[in-house]
Amino acid sequence: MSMMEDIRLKVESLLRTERLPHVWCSGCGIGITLNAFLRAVVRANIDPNQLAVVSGIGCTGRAAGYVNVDSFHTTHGRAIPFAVGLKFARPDMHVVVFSGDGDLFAIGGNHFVNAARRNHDILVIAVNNFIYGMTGGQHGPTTPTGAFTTTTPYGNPDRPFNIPHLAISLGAPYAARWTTHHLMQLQNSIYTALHRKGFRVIEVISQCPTVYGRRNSMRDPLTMMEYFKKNSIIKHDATFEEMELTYNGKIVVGVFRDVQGIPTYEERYEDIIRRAKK
Amino acid sequence: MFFIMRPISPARNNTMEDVKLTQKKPPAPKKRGTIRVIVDRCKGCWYCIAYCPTKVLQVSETLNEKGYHPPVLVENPPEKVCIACHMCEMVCPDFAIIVEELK
Amino acid sequence: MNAGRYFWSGDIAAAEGAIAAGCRFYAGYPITPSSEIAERMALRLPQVGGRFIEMEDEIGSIAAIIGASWTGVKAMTATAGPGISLMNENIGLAVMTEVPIVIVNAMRGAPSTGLPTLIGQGDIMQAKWGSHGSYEIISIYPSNVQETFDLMIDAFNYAERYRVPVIFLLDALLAHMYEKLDVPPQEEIDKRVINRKKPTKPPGETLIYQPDEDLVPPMPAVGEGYKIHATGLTHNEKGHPELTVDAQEKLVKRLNDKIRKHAREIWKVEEYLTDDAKLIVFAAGSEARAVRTAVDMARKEGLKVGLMRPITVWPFPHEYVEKYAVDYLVSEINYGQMYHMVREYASGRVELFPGMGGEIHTPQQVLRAIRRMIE
Repeated sequence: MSMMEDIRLKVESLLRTERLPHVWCSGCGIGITLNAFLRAVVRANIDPNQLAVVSGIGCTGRAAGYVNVDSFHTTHGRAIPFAVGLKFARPDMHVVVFSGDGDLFAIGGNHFVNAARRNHDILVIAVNNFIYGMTGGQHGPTTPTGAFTTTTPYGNPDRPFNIPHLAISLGAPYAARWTTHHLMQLQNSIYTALHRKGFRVIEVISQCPTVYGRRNSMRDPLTMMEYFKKNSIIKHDATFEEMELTYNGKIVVGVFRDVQGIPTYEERYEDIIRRAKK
Repeated sequence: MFFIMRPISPARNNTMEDVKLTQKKPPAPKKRGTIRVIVDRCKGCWYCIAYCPTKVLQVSETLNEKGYHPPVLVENPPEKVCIACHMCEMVCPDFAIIVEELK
Repeated sequence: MNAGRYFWSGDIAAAEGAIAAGCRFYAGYPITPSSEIAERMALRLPQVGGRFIEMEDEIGSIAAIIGASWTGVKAMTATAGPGISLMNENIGLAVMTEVPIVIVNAMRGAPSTGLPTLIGQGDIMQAKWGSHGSYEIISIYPSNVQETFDLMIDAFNYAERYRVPVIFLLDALLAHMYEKLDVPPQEEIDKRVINRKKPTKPPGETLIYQPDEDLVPPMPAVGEGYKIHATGLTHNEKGHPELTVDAQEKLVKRLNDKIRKHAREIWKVEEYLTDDAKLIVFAAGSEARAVRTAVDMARKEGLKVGLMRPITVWPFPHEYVEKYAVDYLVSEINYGQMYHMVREYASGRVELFPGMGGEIHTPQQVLRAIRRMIE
C-alpha cells in the first residue's frame, strides 16, 4: 500500500463512519478542513487515544461528533475553556479546538483572548466562513464590512476581526491563515502546528455557499472556491493591514508567526507544583 | 509527492505553483489509479471534478439516497487517465472518495 | 491536612474538605464571599499535586472543570450568585453529559450585585432551576464550619456516585465566619470517599451512556481508548446526537430518575425537638442557627416548637415534611423559596417568615414569629 492510500485508510478509522454523511451542506468547507486536519493527524503519527477534539456550537461545532477520538461538543463559545481544563488536567494529551468564527470570536472571544495570553498548549482550528451558518446566515464577528447577510440586509456596517493579527498580538507562538482552496498548505500547516507547543491558531477561510455565498453572488460552491483561488496571496511576512479581510477583496494567507520556546501555561505550572511540594 | 511529509516553513513560498503544476497537461503518466466512491456520502459539490488535473471525473447518471449525482471515473487512455494524485480525495468535503493506486 | 483541631472560616473548610475528598482541580474566578476558597486552593492544590487555575470569568471556570472532570480528576469551582447566573448554561451541559463536578455558591444579598459581603438565601431555587430544561441536581447546605468540611466529602461522593453537578450552598455569614473544627485522619476520610464507576468492558464493547441498573452509566476518562463523544445535544447510549422524541424521552427521564430514585439515600435532614412539636420552623444554613436558639427560647415558654433543617436542599426532602401533620413556619433570608416547597408537601398551615437579606433573623424576631403563628 502506498503512503497516500495508507493515510486515506487511517483517516477513515478516525471518522465515526456510521454517522456519515455529515450534516454539512453540499460544498461546505468544514468537511475539507476536517479532511485536512485528519490527514495531518495521521501524518504526524499521533496516537488517536492521545488526542481530544473539542468543539463549540454551530456548523463547525458539529465536527467533534464525527471524529473517532475522545471528542466533546460543548456549549456555545466555551470550547476553549473546556479544552483548557482538559489539557491542564491531562498535559500529556494533544488537545485540539475545532470550532467556528462566531463561536470562537464573538460569544467565546474572551476565552480566546485569555487562553492565548496564558499560552495554553492547545491547537485552535478556527473555521471562518464569514457567517452564522447553523442559525440561517446572520452576520458574525468576521463578516466583511459591506457583506450581505440576513441581519445586514443593507450591507454589514461592522468591521471584522483580523484573527491572525489578534492571535499574534496576544503572543500566540503559531498563527496561520489558509483557505480551503489551499489543500496541501492547510494540511502541512496543521501538521507543523501539531508539532509545536503553545496556543496555536490556524484560521481557515471557508466557504458557506448556502447562506453566505447565496447573498453575496457566490451561490455555487465552486464559485466560492474560485474566489479563494483567484484572490489569495501567500505572504508569510504580511503586515497587519495586509492581513485584514475586506468584502470580496484579497485574502492574504500564510504562516504569519511560528516561534518556538515560549513556555506554555502547563509547563509553568509544573514548576509551581515542584516548588509547592518542597 | 515527497513534499507532503515536510512541514511547511515560512521561508518556502512556492506552494501556489504546486497547484498550478497540477493544472498543466501532465506528461505520460507513470502512476495509475482508480477511485472508489462511497456513493451515499456524496453531496454533489463536484469539487473533485473541478480539481482533477487530468479531468477524468464526470457527473454520473446514478442518484444516491440523498438525491445527489456522485462522480464517476471515465478514462480515455493513454493520457486521459487517473494518475492517483489523490487531489479529489483531499478536496472532498464528504469523505466520499478513496483513491486506489494500481500496481 | 493533618488530623487535628483548626480554626477556619467556612470558605477554608470548604477548600480543605474538597482536598480531603480528593479534589485535585480547581478553576475559578474571584467573587465575594467565595474568594477565600480560590485563595486556599491556589496555595494548597499544588502541594498535593493538584492544579489551580484562575480563569477569565465564571463561564470559563465551569467549562474548564467540566473538561477536567473528563480526565478522571475530581474538579470544583466556587462562586456567588452572580457567578452562578453565568455558570447556569454549563451546569446544564454537566447535567446533560453527566459530568461530576462540585460548585460552591456562597450566597449573598441579591438580586444583581446586591450585598456582596452580606448574607442572602435567595439562590435556593436557582440552584435547582437555574439552567434551562427539566433536570435534577443535588444541592447541600451546611450551617457551621465543621459541617462544611464534612459535607464537602459528601458533595464529591454524590457528584461521583450519580454523575451529576452538586451545588454546595454556603452563605456569606458561614463563608466568612471562623469556628473551630476537627479534621479527622485522612485514612478515616478515605474510607468514606466514593469514586466514579469505571467501565468494566473494554473500549470496543462499551457504550458510553449505557446506564447500569442504578441508571448511572460508568464513566471512562479521556485517553483510555473509549473514544468518548459527549454532546449537550439529546443523545443515545453511544453518546451520539439523536434528535428525536424517543431519545429525548429516554434520556431526560433517566437524568431525572437517577436522582429521584435515590433521593432517600441522598437526603440529610436535621430534626431538633420535632417529635412532640405542634409547630416546626423550617430553616437552613446560618439562619437555622438563630432558629435553633429561638426554638430553645420557645420551649422555655412552654411552646411545643421544633426545628427542621434541610441539609440536602435538592432533591427536596419532602418525606420529612410530610411526616409531621403540624404547622410549618419557614424562616429564610429571601421572599419565599423553600416556603413554596414546604407548602407543596405540608398538610397543615405554612407561613413564611422572610428576610430580604443582609442579616439573618435574630432569635427574638423568630420567637415573635413563632408566637404570632401559635396564637
